[in-house]
Amino acid sequence: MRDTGVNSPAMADAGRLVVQSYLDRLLADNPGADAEVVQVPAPAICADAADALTDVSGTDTPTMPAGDRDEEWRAKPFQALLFQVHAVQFAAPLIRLQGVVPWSEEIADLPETPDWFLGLLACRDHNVRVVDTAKLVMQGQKFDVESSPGHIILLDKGRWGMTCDGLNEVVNVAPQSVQWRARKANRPWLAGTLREKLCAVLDVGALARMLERASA
Amino acid sequence: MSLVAQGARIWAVANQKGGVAKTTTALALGGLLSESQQRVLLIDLDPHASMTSYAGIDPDSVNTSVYALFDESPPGDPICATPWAGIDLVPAAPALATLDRRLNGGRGQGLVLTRWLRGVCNRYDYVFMDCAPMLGVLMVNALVASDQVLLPTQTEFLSINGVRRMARTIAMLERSQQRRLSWLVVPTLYDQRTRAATQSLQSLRDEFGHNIWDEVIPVDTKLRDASRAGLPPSAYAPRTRSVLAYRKLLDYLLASERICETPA
Repeated sequence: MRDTGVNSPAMADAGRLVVQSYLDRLLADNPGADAEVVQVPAPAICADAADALTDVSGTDTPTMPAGDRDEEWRAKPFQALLFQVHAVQFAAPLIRLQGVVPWSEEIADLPETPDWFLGLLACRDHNVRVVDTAKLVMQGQKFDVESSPGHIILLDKGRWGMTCDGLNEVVNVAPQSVQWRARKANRPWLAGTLREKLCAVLDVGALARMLERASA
Repeated sequence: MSLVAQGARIWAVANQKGGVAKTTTALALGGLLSESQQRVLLIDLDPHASMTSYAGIDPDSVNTSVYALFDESPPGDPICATPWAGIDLVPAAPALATLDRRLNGGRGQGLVLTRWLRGVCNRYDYVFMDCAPMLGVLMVNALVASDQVLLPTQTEFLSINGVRRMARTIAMLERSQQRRLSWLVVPTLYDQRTRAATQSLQSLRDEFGHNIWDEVIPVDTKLRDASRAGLPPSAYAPRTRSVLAYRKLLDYLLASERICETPA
């Protein structure tokens, strides 16, 4: 294909996610499952939440309330952090994150670990297990843009951190603006696709569980 | 093996590019099968309703159509007789163009045709689904329900992109369904006098070697004449070169199915 400047790997990847999500939904075998989706108008973009999120120094790490909130966040409007890896944009529900730290400290390598596991990062009073997001969720893909991780996104009470090249913005998301995946036998970390932004929405809880299983 | 699992063999004729002889291919193969006493059902999944019009049915005034399968619960029986012996039709209607918007990608809507076919496939030996040239709920229904996907493609540069797009779509469907789909590229409208056609055919063979039929359907004005006469190509001009080519294609497909069905 001739390079006309209007093509980008990020758009191609997001396009594939949109189509895959559409197909997954059409082929789900529980047709009645949509009925409980809350229909609310999409609120305006909340810009300054990103600043609050990127600096966690001197603040308490938010802790998750008791109970599994994996599904709760999907049912009502939520804020999502948009970040990028290899110029591919992702969205992660803010409520499922513990913060973002700049990657300025050295990560301690550990022997005999998978290639996606980068090592341990000392963060305040505990070690964060840091994973290479590109190697974890974008395996086998080729990119025109090199990854240069500058931040680590903390999840699962700060036990895990995932690298990202850049933070884009925080947006308010209405549930109906996401094409939720019906079945997640493959890529359990992929909750769905944010249509307006053409980006994958991470299921942070599923991702953390996947990491725990992989590291067990 | 399709999700319908038993009864008729179900073949989808699909391509996300238009003007590649999808309708002609379905009618040519269906016509040939009906001549050998096979019971054939044609399903017109294209809002343009070319196949429906070909059968002499006015899509603007049909009492029932494919739309009823998605609109009624339980779905009615939208099967109509055609002027051709041994061939029935589920007609299309212009309202099909609104289906994607109305269903809004709802869960399970990709399996509607599969479920309906389970109830009728014992009445037929072969079912052909003629798809619209766009990825949507109708094409997904057809691909999922099928035993075999035929991808007619004109031998020209832009058509190769259409086949690539279809191959990606099929790969995604396979991931969603966790089953393999059998598909075959059928070069059509081949004009050996043009360099563009020969070069494009070679490119197709280089890229889709394992999934492309070895022969071609030649360009043939008799096909256009057959549609004007409202007859399947094999009934209008049984010895014309394109019909002979379709007969070879049918023999190939039937032989392939026999091989697949032979126990290892």
